Parts: sequence; C-alpha cells; structure tokens
Amino acid sequence: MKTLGNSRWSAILVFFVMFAFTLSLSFFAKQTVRERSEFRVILTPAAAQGVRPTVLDLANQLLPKKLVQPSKVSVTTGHRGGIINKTQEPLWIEVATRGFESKHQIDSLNIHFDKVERRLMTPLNPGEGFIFSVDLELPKDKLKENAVDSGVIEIINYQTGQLLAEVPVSIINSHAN
Amino acid sequence: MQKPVKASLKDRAKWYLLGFVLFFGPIAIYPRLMQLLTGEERFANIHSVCLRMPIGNLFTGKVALHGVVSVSFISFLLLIISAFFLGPFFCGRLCAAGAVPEYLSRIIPDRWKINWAKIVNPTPVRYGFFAAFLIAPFLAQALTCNMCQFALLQKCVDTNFGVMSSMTILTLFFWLVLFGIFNVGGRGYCNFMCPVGALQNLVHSIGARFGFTYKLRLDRERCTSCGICVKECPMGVLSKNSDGLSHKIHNCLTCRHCERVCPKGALSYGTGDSGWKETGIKMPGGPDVPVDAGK
Repeated sequence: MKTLGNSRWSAILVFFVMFAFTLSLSFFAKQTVRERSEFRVILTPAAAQGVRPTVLDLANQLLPKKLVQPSKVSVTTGHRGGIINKTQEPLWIEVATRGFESKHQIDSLNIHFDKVERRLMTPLNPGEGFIFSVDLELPKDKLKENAVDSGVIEIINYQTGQLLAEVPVSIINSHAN
Repeated sequence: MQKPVKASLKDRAKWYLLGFVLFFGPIAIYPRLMQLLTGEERFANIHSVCLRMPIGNLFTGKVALHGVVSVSFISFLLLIISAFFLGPFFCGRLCAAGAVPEYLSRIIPDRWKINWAKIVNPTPVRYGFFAAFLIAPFLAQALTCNMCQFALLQKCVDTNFGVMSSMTILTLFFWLVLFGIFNVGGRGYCNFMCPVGALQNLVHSIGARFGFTYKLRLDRERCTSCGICVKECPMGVLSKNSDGLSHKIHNCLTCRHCERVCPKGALSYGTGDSGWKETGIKMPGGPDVPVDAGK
C-alpha cells in the first residue's frame, strides 16, 4: 500500500487537509462552550449582590455529549478569573447551593479548595480570583422536560457568615415537548 | 514477545512511571517543588505545569501567561532546551499520557489495529495540526485545554471524568481509541495531534544538525535490514527502503526502544554524526530529498 504524503505535493496536500480538519475541530470546540453555563462574580464592598441568572439549555448539547453524557452538566465560573475579590480585604470563601433537585458537587482545581467543606481554606486576597464549577447529575427522567432543574449558588464569607453573592441557575431543555 | 522487546518495554515503563509520579496528581512532585521555588500557588497536578498553554499562545503574545517566574513558563523553557540537546526527552521518557495508549495497545491483537503511520506520512499531518493549533485562537477556539490528553489522564487518575464536553469526548476517542489502542504502536495521538511533541521534534530536527547534541544514530555497516526496529517502533518512524533503513526525525520520540531491540547494535543514541539519510518526502517524480539530520 502506498503511503499518502510521501511525495512533496501529497505532503503539502496532507498538511492542508490536516490544517483544515484541525480548524474545523476548533470551530466545533467553540460550539461546545454552550454545553455548559458560565457566570462571573465581582465581589465588591457593597451588600450581597444578585448576579444575572445563568441559564443552561440542554438543547445546545452536541451529538457526542448527547450520546455519552447527556445528564452530566456543569455551571462554571470559566477560566477567566472566576469570582474576583474587588474588596479591600481578604475573603474566606464558601460555596453553598440551595434548591437543586439533582445530585451535585462543587469542584475546583484550586489546591486550597476543600471539596467536602466546600471552602477555600486560604483567604481570597484583594484582586485574586477563584474558579470553580458546580457539576450536576440531572435525573434522566427529567431531561426531556422543559424545566429540568433550578437552584441558587451562594458565595459566603464563612468567617463572618456574610452572603457575598447569589447566582440563580436554571437548567432547561428548549427542545422538550 | 522477544526478550529484548520485553526488557525494553519494562525499562521504558519505569521511566513513564517516574514521569507519572513527577507530573500527575495526587503525587505530582515536580509541580509541588516548582511551586515552592517560584512561590506560585496553583494546582498540585499536571495543570500547573501545562505545556500546551505557552505553545498555544506562541502567537498571541501570552506565552508567559502566569508570568515569567511561573511553573508553566519555566517548564516550557526546559522543554525547548531539552529538545534541542537531547531530542524529545519528555515524550520519549516522561510522558505518561503518551505511554498509556501505547502500552494498552499491546493488549489488543494486531489484526484489529490500523497502521495509520503506514496509511499516511505522520510528518505533514503533525505539522498541519500544529500550524492550525497555533492559529486557532485567532479564528475560533483555542485547542489548548479542549484537546488536552494530559488533562484526560489526570481525570482518569482522579477516577472522576466529571462533566465532559463533546470536544473532550472526541479527544478521549482520538487519544485512547482510534489513534490509541486500535492503532499499531498506540501512539497515533502523539504522532498526529500533540503540539508538545510537534514543537519538540521541530526543535530536535534543528538541534540534531549539530554534532554536540544527542540523537538517534545508525551504524549502516552493522544494520542487516532485519526490520525488527521497523516493526517495534511505536511511532512508525522507521521504514525499510531501497537505501536500507530510513528515519523520520520529525516524529521520532528518541524513546530508544529501537536501540534496545536491535540484535546487531546498529542503532544507538548519542552525540556526533547521526548516520541517517532522512528520506521522509520525495520530490515529485524525482529522487529522495536528503535532509541529512546529523551532518
């Protein structure tokens, strides 16, 4: 069998085919951003803030996700800073949730985040950010309903007990009957 | 399986285990030590080392995204320097994410596997991917985290695949299945879709031109063209042709598996002249283009 890409012209062709294929993967990757929901919180000295509700639509799931893992979804701060402390003092962050029916857990790559306590064990200093995600396992029988689940993510200063911010979350399926 | 093959696989496995312990959580000795040195506090796993981010940001001006004194940027520099002097040392010795599909593929019978390196020359595929990887942040979505096999291995270790996006699922399929266990050699993802490997081999192809750098060498007088090395090379970079043995330096891991399995000791790793006549790409209708790597 002759190997493709061994002559100069076929190598150039193979190079550009792979180039195009990779770029198409990049566009595909851009579409997959809609499979999760992202929110950002800027913590300011003012009283507890309500953050714009974040909506996750299961109809945005692409085929691989639909086939392999349709019920596992993530509501995340993303990687661009996450919760940012814009106050003048260090904050002791705890992430709490309320109202979700689905099984869920808080996950963070941050070395100081205690997943059981849901607390950042070192203070979030002024100007610093903290990234995390709420990973939910939705009940399979509810995936085809219009309103799948909803709840609120709360950011609390666990030293003072002060509620710093609230993020309302709705998980819907706009393709549901 | 022949004795030298087994022995080589065992010895290489020890290196990959070391690489695993060094870079991947929960142990992750290297990021922990580096974080002590740099004062940076991020993740105690492969994510703080992230070699893909500086490469993906080569053209965006954010190569040192977390600062010059960061684990990621220092590791990136070490990677380039080691590739110049030693070849893709990280890939050939320490990359557990490349080793996992290679070793798993040995469990699968050969008749179920596809020899991708024989169907298509991996060099233009690899650099086609690499070029698009560098440009992707400007056109659509960066592929740094999206197609990261290191993060996938870390997820395997954490025994928590968590929430995967469609892109992650596709990457898992490419890395472990299509170009992994069902690929002859198991290293299709390294060959085609790893920017860390592509950059190292690009640097190695330049470094190997100098006599003082380490490279895979061929002693033509000892080589009997028995083909054991061709069959055993996990990357499929060795081939037999009318000139004898040929070698694709742009895909070679310098894992030294061929050196160990060669019954005549014709292949070695060291400094000096490489002894290869690189014959990866032919002129249309003409003779092979010699790219004398070690001369």
